[in-house]
Amino acid sequence: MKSRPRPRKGPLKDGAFTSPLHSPRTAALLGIALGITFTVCFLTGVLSHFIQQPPAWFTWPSRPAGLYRVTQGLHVATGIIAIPLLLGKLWTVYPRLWQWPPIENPTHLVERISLVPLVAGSVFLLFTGIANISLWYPWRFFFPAGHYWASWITMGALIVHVGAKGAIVRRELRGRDPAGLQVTLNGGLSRRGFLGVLAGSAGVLTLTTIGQTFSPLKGLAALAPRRPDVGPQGFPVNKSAVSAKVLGSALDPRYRLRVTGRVERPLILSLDDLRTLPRHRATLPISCVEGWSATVDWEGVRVRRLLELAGVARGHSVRVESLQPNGLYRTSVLNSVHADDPDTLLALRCNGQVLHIDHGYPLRLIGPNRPGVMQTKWVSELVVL
Amino acid sequence: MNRPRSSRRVFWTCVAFGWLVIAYGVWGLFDNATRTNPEQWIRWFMGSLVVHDFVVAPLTFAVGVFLVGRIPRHLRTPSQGGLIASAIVVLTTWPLLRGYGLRPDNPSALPNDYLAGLNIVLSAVWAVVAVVAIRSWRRRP
Ligand code: HEM
Repeated sequence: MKSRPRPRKGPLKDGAFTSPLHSPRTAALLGIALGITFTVCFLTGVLSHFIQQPPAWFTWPSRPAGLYRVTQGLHVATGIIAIPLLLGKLWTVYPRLWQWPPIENPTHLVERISLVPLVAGSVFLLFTGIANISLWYPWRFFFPAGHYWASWITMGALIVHVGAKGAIVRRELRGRDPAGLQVTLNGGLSRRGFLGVLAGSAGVLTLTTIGQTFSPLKGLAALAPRRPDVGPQGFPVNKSAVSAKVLGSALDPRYRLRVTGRVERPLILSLDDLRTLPRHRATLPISCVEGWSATVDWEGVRVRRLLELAGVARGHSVRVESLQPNGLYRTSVLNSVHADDPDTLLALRCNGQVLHIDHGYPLRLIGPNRPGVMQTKWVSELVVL
Repeated sequence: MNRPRSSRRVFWTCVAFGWLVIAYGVWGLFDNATRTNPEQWIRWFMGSLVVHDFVVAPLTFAVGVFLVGRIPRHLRTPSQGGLIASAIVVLTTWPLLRGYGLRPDNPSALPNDYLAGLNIVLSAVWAVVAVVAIRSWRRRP
């Protein structure tokens, strides 16, 4: 291709970007760190999606009880760590946006076109993720669906990018780099200094948010959207009874729990009936998809016990329905492993008190190793499938 | 600077596989249109790129150019570090600071005083900056 002279204006001017930090080595090191965080984020995110909308081949176990808390905590934590890494990376390679000529050959054209979904997708995922955990929804699409499909697009673009840059990365990692500590001409940060500042920023963000799920550090969680010990009965609420529109139905004395579907004997139980059934206690985390979690003492009736009373053999899955009149989370499914787990309860009490209405009074589902959105509150019916 | 190219085979394999994954994502986006609202989604997706590349990044460079001549040479390194860290923390915490997610029916959501939290974090960041700055000032030739 014949090269035209470089226009001598603005960011297109020769030497428009003076910092030596805009180097392939900085890009390679940040690229590797981003590759790791994005991959962890993607895998834990897809896992969370499969748990909530399981494909036929996928069965999520009920043990270990705290596994989802760890995978989803990791998802949000790596997403937060990726923010400084992404901003640093994009700053480092920004001059390449203005490279001249813009397209060198057909291969380069393909490479650059693939950068559109990569950059758009990376910024989109981190922005929507942060807004979501901050309970801010300025857009008009359903967050989990928009975020999920964007993650496939971004990871696809990342694969192309790694294919294009792999050779540079390999070259940059070979041998030592004498320029690492060099202070720049105008007295700015060295490359190590720059990477150190980004790592330090990631560290600060992690330390001030991770306490929302890792409670030993809850005292430091000054910038976390939740605190694991703040809320009615000592732990947070995601959807209140008011916003779920269940104030009337949950407090109605005519409340009944029904056990229906593929049962031998359908059951209709009042609260008093439920209170006379054998109680079981379990200490289980409530683990929100938004990355916070809290350990709570629960007390209630085993789902397995109710299924027995209704004459249901082991090995059935169960749809749990809420009094909530609408909303995407008004029902959840217990696969057979969860339905039969001895710690899967319809809880009447938590932390030694009758359930607060915002925690699902009169009756809520709580089971080991489940996302919070699948721990249905204000339960009205178990439908055996 | 010369940049080594990946072998053609590696590159085109990654292109084929990567675009297959992208195509799956685009298919899913439209297949779930009632939830993803593609028209809105595309606006936010492309908006992310435009806002970064043509607003956030140029502003960052403009601030850098503006400050570099105004800060004494020996204080540039620590102040650059302090500014980068502060900007990242403020940007990330912005929705919490503004309290967009506060809801009257749920006091457990966003329970912290985020401005106070931010002040503590920024004070710590700038305390480190001050220590580094004093040391590099003393060591100036
Ligand atoms: C996750 C999000 C990522 C984003 C948004 C991103 C973005 C970019 C962009 C826009 C460029 C400039 C492209 C050009 O015109 O040359 C670039 C360059 C580069 N990227 Fe990435 N990247 C990401 C991840 C990675 C990963 C995982 C690696 C490697 C393992 C990597 C390694 C590189 C390298 C070596 C360069 C070349 C820098 C140069 O030649 O100066 N990047 N990246």
